[in-house]
Amino acid sequence: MKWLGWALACLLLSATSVGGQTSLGEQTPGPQTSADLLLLGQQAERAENYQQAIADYQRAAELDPKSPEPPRALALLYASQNLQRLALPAWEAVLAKTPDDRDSWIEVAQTHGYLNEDHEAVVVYEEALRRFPADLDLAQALAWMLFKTEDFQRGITLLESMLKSQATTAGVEMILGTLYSSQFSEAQARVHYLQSIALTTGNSLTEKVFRSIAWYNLSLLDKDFYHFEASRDDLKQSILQQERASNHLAMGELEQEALQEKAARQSYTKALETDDTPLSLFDLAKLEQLFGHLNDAKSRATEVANFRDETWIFNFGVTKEKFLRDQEELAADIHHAAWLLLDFQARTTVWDWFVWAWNKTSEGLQWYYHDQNWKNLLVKTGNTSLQVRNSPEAWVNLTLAHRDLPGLGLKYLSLSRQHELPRNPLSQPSYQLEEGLLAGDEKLLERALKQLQTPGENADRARGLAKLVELRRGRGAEVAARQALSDLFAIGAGLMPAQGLALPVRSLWFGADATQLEQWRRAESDYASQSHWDISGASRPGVVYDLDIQVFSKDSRQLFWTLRDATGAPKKSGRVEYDPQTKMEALASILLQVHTSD
Amino acid sequence: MTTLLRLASLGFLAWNYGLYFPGLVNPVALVAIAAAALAGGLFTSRTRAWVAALASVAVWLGLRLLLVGVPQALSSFSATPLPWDTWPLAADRHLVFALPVVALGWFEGWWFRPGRSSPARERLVHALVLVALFWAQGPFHLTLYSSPFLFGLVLLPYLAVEAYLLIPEARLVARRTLASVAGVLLLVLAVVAVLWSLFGKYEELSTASGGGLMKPDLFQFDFSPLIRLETQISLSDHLVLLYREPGPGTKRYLRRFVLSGYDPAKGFFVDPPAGGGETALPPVGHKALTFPNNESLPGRQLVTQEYFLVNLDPASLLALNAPVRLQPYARWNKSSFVNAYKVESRVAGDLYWELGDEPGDGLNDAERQHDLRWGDDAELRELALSITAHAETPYEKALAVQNYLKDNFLYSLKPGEPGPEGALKHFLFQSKKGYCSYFAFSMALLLRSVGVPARVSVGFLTNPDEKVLDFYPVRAFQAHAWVEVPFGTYGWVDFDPTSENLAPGEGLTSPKGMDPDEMTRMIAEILKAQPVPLTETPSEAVSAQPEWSVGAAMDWGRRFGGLLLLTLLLLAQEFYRQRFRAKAWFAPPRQKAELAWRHLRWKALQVGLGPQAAETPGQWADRVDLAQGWVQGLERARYSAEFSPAEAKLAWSELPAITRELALRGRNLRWGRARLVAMVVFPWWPHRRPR
Repeated sequence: MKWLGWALACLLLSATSVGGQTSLGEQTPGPQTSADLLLLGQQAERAENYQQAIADYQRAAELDPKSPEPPRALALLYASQNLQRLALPAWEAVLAKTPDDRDSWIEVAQTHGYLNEDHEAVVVYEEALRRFPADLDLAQALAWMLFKTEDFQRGITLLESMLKSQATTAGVEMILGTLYSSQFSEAQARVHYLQSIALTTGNSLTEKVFRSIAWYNLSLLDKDFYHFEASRDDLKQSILQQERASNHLAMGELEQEALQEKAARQSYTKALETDDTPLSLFDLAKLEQLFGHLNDAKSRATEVANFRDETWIFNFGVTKEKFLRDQEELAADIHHAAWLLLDFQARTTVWDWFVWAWNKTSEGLQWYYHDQNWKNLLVKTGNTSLQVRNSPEAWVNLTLAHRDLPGLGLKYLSLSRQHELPRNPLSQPSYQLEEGLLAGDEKLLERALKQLQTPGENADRARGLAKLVELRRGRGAEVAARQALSDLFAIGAGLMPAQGLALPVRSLWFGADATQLEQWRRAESDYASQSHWDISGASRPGVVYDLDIQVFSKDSRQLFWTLRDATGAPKKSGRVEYDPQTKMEALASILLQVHTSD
Repeated sequence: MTTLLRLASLGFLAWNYGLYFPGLVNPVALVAIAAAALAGGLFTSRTRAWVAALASVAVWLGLRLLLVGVPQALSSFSATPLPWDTWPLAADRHLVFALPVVALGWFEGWWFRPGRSSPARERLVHALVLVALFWAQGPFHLTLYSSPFLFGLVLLPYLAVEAYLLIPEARLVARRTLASVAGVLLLVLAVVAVLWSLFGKYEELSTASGGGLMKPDLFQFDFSPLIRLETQISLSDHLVLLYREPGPGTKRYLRRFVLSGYDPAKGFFVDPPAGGGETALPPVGHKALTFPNNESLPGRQLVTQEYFLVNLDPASLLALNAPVRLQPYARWNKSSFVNAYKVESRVAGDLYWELGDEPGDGLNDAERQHDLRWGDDAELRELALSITAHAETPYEKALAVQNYLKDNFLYSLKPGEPGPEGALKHFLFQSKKGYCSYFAFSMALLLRSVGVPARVSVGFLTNPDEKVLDFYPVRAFQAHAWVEVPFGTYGWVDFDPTSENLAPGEGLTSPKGMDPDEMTRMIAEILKAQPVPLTETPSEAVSAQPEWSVGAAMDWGRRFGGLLLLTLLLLAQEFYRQRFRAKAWFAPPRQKAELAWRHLRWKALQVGLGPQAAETPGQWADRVDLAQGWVQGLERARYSAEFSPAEAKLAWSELPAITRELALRGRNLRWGRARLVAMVVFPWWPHRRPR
C-alpha cells in the first residue's frame, strides 16, 4: 500500500506541477517595457503586420513617454510607406523629446519638404540653425529650401557668411552655384559648380552621382546662357560620371530645341527606363505634341496626370504649383494642335462636316479651358515669386500670362529684359523674338530671326517663322508668307501640321488617263480650299517645291509622291493607298507624310 | 417678386455652372452676370429677336471694352507693375466663361415675358440645363458638392422656387398667406422625401434579394456592366472601398455576388438553389454572422480582413471564398465610410494534387442539377469536348478550359457588337476578345456542358502593389468576374480565365494612382477610430458612443423620412380642417357666414376660379357665377348675416350643400389636381382649363 501512497503522492505532485505551470502560463504578463514593445513592433513591421506594429509603438510610447524611440519607430514606419502626412506628427513628437538632436530638426523639415510645404520647412531649418549656428549641413539644407522658395539672395548670404568661418564643401558649392545661376550670375555660378566638381575626388557611387549632378547643373547654366555646344559637352561629362534619367532628359531637351525629333525621342525613352519621376513622360508628351502625334501626346499626358507620388518634387527645382502649371500648358497645346490639325482632315459627306464641327468645338473649348488654367497658374506663381522679390521669374510668368493682352504682356517683357539683358547679352534675339510675337511686329521678328542661327535655337526660329506666316498672310503678302513657310519646312517640317501650316507646293499629276487626272485635280482643288493647303498645278511666285504624284489604278489603288526642291532634286517620297470615292483622304495622307521630320 | 424668383432660379444654375471651374471663375460673379443678362432680356423683351440678340452682343462687347480694354491700356502706361494689372485677364476670362449664362439669361428675359410663353417652358429649359450640368459628373459621386446631403440641401430651395413659379395656384395662394408658402415648401419637401424614401426602400429590397445588382446608382458603385455582356464598357478610377489585411501584399479575389442562374438573354444572375446555400450571401446588418459549413473545409488558410466601404451599398458583404465569420463594426463619428466590418475567411491554398485526385463535386443531386443548367448547347459542348479531350478529372477539365481562354483570347473593354448568334458565341467563335465577364461566363458554360458544375463570382481583383500599411484601396476599374468550381470536401475553388493579353487598339493607359492625400486621410481616420465590433443589440452599441453622422442621418432619412413627412403633411391638413370645423362650431352666426365664405374662396382657388387681383368680392362672385350659381347665394348670405343672425345660420347650413355641389362639379377640381401633378411631371403640359 505504501507504493500506492507514493504513487498517489507523485500523481498529485505532478498534477499540481502541471496545474501550476498552466496557471503560470496564463498569468504570464505581456511585454512590460517599452523596449520589449519596440522589439515586438519591429518584428511585426518585418512581417508586414503594420497594424500590430503601430499598436506596439503607440503602447511603447505610453509606457515610456520620455523616450524618443517609439515615435521615431512610428515615424520611420509611416515614412517607409510614404505616408508623410502621418510621419510628420511622429517626427514632431521625436523633436519635442530631443530638441538638442540636430537630426530631429532635419527630419521634421525634410518631411515638410516632402509634403511640398517649403515655407514651413524653411521655418524649421531657421529655428534649427539658431540652435546650431555653426552647423554647415543645416545651413546647406536651409539654403536649398530658400532656393525652392525663390529667396535666392538670402540663401547666398547665409552660405557665404558660414564660409567665412568654415571650410567649404562640395554640397555647399553646388547649392551656391544653383543660387547664383537663378540670379543670372553666370560667372559665379560656373565657378561654384566647377569647385563642387573639384572637391569631389572619390570614386564611390555617391561621389559619381554627385559629380554627375554638378555637370548636369553646369549644362543647364550653359543652356540658359545660350552656349548650346558647351551644354551638350557638360551633359556628356555628366553621363560619363553616372547614367541618370535627368541627363538623358536634358540631352533630349537640347535635341528638341534643335528640332531633332528622333534623337530627342530616343533620349527621352532612355530616360524613361530609369526615371522615378513623371518628367520623362512629360517631356515625351511635349515632344509628341510638338510634332503632331497627338494620340501619343494625350496618352503620355494622362500618365503624367496619373502619377500621384509627389515626393520627387522635393529634390528638384520645381514646386507642385509650377509642375501643375506646366501640365496645363501641355494640355492646352495638345488641344490647340488637335484643333488646328482638324483642318487638314478631309470632309466629303455631311456627316464628315458634322463630326468635324463637333470635334473642332470640343477641342476648341478644351484648349480654351486649359489655356485659362495655365494663365491663372502663371499669375499665381508669378505673384508668389513677386512676394519673395524673385522679380525676373515673376515677370516671365506675367509676360506669358498676358500673351493675348499685348499691352500688359509687353510691359512685363520689358521689365524682364531690363533685368536679364545686361547679365545675359546673348538673350537679346530671344527678347526680340518674344516682343515681335507679342506685338505682332513683322520687322522685329525678321531682325530676331536673322540672329537666331544656331541649331539650338531652331525651336525659337520655328515659332518666329510661324508668326511671320500669319502676319504676312494677314496683310496679303502671300509670296513672302510662302518664303517663310519654305524656311520653316527646311528646319522643322514635322511640326508644321500641328501649327496648322503646310508647305506651298506645285503639284504635277501623272500616270492616269485625262478623265482620272481631271478628277484628281478637282479633288486637289476641293481639298486645298478645305484645308487651306497652298497646293495647285499652277506655278506661283514664292513656291519652290514641286510635288510629283503618280496615280496607279490598275492592280492596286495607290498614289506615289515625290517632293522636289527648286533644283529638281528629290527631297522626300512616299505612297498612299486611296479609295476612289474619297480622294481627298488620300491627299490628306500625303500632306501628313510630306510633313514628317527627316 | 416673380422676377426675383426667376433670377434666383437662374442664379442657382449660374452658380453651379461656376462650380465646374474652381479657381478660374467666381460663381458670385456669374450670378451677377446672370442677373444683368436677365435684366437686359427683360428690357428688350418688347423688341424683335434680332434687336434683342444684337443688344446682348453689343452689351457684352461694351463690357469687355470697359473691363478689359480700358484697364489694359491704363496699366500699360505705367512702366512698373501695378496691383490691378491682372484684373483685365480675370475680367476677360469671366466674360468668356459667362457667355452661356449671358445667352440663357438674355433669352429667358426676352422670351418668357407674360403673354409670350408659359412659365412651364422656362421651367423645362431650367430642368434641361440642370440635367446637363449634373450629367457630366462622376458616375457615383457628386463632384461639385462634398456630399449628396449638401447637394440635397441646396437643391431643395431651388425646387421650391421652381414649383412656386410653375404652379399658378401656388403663386396666387402664396401671395395671400405666408403659411401657404410654407405649405408649398412642405409639399416639395414631402415629394423629395417620398422619392428618397422609396429609393431607400428599393435599395433595401434589392439588397435583400441579391444586392442592388441591376440598379444603376448615382452615388454608389454599380456592378451591372459586369453581369451583362455589353458591347463596350468603361470603368472609372473612383475609390469603392478600402480593406485591411496584415501580412505581405497578396492578390485577392473579393467576392460580392455568386451567380449561378443563367439565361441566354440576360446572362448569369443571382439564383441560389432551393434552400439558400452559400450563394445566397446575406446582407451586412447589425449582427455578427457565422458560416458553419465553411469551417470544416480542408486545405484552407484563415485570412482576416476588415472592409471599409466608401462607394458601395452599405449592406454589401464582401469576402474571400469562403467566409466563416462576419463581425460588423460600430460606426464612428464623422465616418468617411458607409459601413465597416471584419470578415474571416478560409482561403484555398495550392491544392493542385488534392483537387486532381478529387473525383466528386460534393454536391447533392438538386445542387448539381442547379449548377449544370444551360449546359446543353451543342456548339458549346463540341468546343468544350475538344478543349478537354485530354482531361480526365473535373480539375483537369477546369484547368484546360481556363488555360484555353487565357492563352487564345484577348482582353478588351470594347468587345463590339455581337452577331445574331449572341454575345457569348460571338466571343467564343468570332471576335475572341472581351472583358472578364465574357471569359467567366464562357468558362462556366463550357464546364457545365461537359458535366462539371460551375458558377460565376463577381467582385473585385485587388492589386498588392497599391498596398499602403496594411490597407488596400479598391477602385471601380478593379471590378472583376471569375469562376468557381466545386471539389467535394474542398468546397468551391476559384479559377480566373481572363486573359492578360490586350487586344490591339485597346489604348488602355495605366490607371491614375491613388490620391496620396485621400489615402492618408482615410488611413489616419481608421487608425484613430480603432473600429470596435458592434454588439448584438444595435441600440447598446449606438448608445455606447456618439453615433451621429451625415451618412447615418441620410440612411435614416432614406428609410423613414419620406413616410414621416407625408404623415406630418396629412396630419397638418387634418389639423387645419378640424380647427376650421371647431372654429365654425363655436363661432357666432355672423362669423360662421364669414368662415363659410373663406372656405368657399379657398375651394375656388384650388380649382383655379379664385378672385383675381383688384377684384371685389362682388365682382368675383358675378364673374364666377356665370358658370356656378352658388357663389352669389353665399355672398348674399354673408352680407345678410351682417344684419340678421338667422340669415347667417341659413348660410352656414347651406355650406355642406354648396360643398357637395362643388364636389359634383368636381370636374374642375379634379382637373386642377391632375394639372398640378401633370405640371410637375410634364412641365410642357397645357395648363388651360377645358371650357
